[in-house]
Amino acid sequence: MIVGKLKDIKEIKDSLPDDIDSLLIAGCGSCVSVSLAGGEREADSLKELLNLYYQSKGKSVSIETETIKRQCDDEFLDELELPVARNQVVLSIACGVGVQHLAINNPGKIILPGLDTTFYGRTSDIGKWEEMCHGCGKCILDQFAGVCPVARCSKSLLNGPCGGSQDGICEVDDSIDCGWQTIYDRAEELGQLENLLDFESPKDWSTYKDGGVRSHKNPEFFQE
Amino acid sequence: MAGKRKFELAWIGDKEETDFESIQISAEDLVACQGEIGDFKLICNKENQPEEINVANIIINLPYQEEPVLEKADSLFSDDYDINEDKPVIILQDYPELSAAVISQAGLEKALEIKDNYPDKEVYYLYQAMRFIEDNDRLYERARESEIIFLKFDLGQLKIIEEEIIHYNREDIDLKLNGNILAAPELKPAKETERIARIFNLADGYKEYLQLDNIYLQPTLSGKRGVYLLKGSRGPTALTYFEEELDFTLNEVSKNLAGVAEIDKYDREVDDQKCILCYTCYRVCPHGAIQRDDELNSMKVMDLACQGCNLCLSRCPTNAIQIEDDYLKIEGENEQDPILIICENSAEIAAEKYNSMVGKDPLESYQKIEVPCVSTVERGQIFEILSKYSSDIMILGCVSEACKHLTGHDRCQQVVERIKEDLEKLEIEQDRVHYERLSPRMAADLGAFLADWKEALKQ
Repeated sequence: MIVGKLKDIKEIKDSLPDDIDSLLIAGCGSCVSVSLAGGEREADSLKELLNLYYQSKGKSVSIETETIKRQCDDEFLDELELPVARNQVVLSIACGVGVQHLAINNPGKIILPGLDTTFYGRTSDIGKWEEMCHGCGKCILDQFAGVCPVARCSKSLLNGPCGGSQDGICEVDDSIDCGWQTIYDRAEELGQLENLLDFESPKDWSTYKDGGVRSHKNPEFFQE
Repeated sequence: MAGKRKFELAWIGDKEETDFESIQISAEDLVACQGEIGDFKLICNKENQPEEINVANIIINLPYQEEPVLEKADSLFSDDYDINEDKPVIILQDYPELSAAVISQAGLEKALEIKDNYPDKEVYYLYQAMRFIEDNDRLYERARESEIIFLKFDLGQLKIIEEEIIHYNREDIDLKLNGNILAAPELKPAKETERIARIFNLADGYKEYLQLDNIYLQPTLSGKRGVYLLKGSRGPTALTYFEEELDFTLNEVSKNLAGVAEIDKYDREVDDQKCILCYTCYRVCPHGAIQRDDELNSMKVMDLACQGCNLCLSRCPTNAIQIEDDYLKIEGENEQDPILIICENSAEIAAEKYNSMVGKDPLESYQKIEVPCVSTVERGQIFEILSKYSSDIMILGCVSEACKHLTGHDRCQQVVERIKEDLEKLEIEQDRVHYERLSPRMAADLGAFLADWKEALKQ
């Protein structure tokens, strides 16, 4: 899923216009709710904190919250139509996709991001998420014992580890496991070490961001 | 599934003889546990034959892993040890760390056994502390009479020079002992422990065992109702008191079979339209009381397993869990009074004790929110109180080992720290939120501490 974390409260506060009189905090009930950053509870907490802030500054700002199922699909945005209309500014705590989708649908409105979209990852512990995928557009997990060298090697190397792999730890940071050690260990477990001996040609990165802005169509719905 | 069977008791790991209808399940075969006390469903996968077994109670009784402390020494627990005719026998306990009390017994018995079989053999007994449980004093006396040589050592007085030579050096004695060493192994949790913890959703225990260091879990309770921990599942001292702990546990199982009541009258309902199956409630619940409801495709709180802390309610990111109890209500006569958020299991009890000791309610002239666990404290709730009231807030949680809901104190502390961080970043109201920990016994401390705080607030 898409993982996000709430922006620093100072950054959020600074991004709001000085002459603000009304604010909608728009939560998203999917991925970023799971990553405990952009759901109904976070929207409510943020509202109370900003209320407290404006009160301490002697400013009168009306703040309301509305959390919908998904901010990245048109159909759910209906529920936000009135709240968006009656507020001067919208702070979306959806991922970057949701914020922009909301902006596309509300061209005349200031839509601000309240959350940093971090990566595609898995929940590895309570309140902890780990990056698993870069969305490169061409999955090669089958060749690497199910461990992605693009996302889980800090250098996205395809032909074995670099010299910075020490005792299974990446040289970039002590808290990062060496992706290639993980690939090797799992390949050994699966009896697939031979597969790793094949030389990998340079990856075609045109399916990734290097090929420009991406979009795709499901042929069942579109005729070429 | 091959079929369903129902038992009063399941033993995960080693089985003991009881009158209960029981089943023994190997830790390796167990893959999942669902349900609650009285109706657990254990999913086993023995040789790829999945089976669902219904049990009312569960005892996890995994063996210890014995790790040798010296490569060439025999284990004190082994009956297969070398006796070299020319060399003395050296019994070594408490190396490198103090052994469990029961080891003293095993060591004395072993020393006497050797002395009985080889009366002319020199037997040295090296130890840091002799623990006198059961009949150890009689064994110790017999050992002294049999001329076993006891050498007590402190840290630093014993060095292993080579694998078979021990250098014993204290003020009055300097000895190099070369002989057959029988050493007490270091005891560690069984290798399946981590996986079992995950299956039962138990919090990380003391020294990687399954039981947390917490007074509410004494002696063999896990955080999950109806699941008990014995021997190598419970912790390093569990071997010493095994018989007593087994008796206690079986008695608990009998009581459970006679009937189990819910912890309180409140239902904690999950709104299946709001639940997004993020499993946050499942992960934070200290009592393993949450599972997925397959029919509704949402999570659900199991009423008998629930211990009423309401942590699930306060952490659900979508506010999907509801209760018909306004437990966050502020009680008090004067809106200017400072606000106390108090745990009913510590500060509330301490206050009652103080009242009966001194004849004065220490919580008088405060506004109060009495909660089942301070882990229910939320950021939004605190910010709201700060903006509605002008007074300070004091949260009185529990000391770590006396938190009835095991991890509540930590969860609350994390929230309070984040609240303070946010307030600091906005440069507002930074000193209005306070957090302290108490145990129910600290009545006098509570009285004195609140008096001091009130004085500080006046100033």
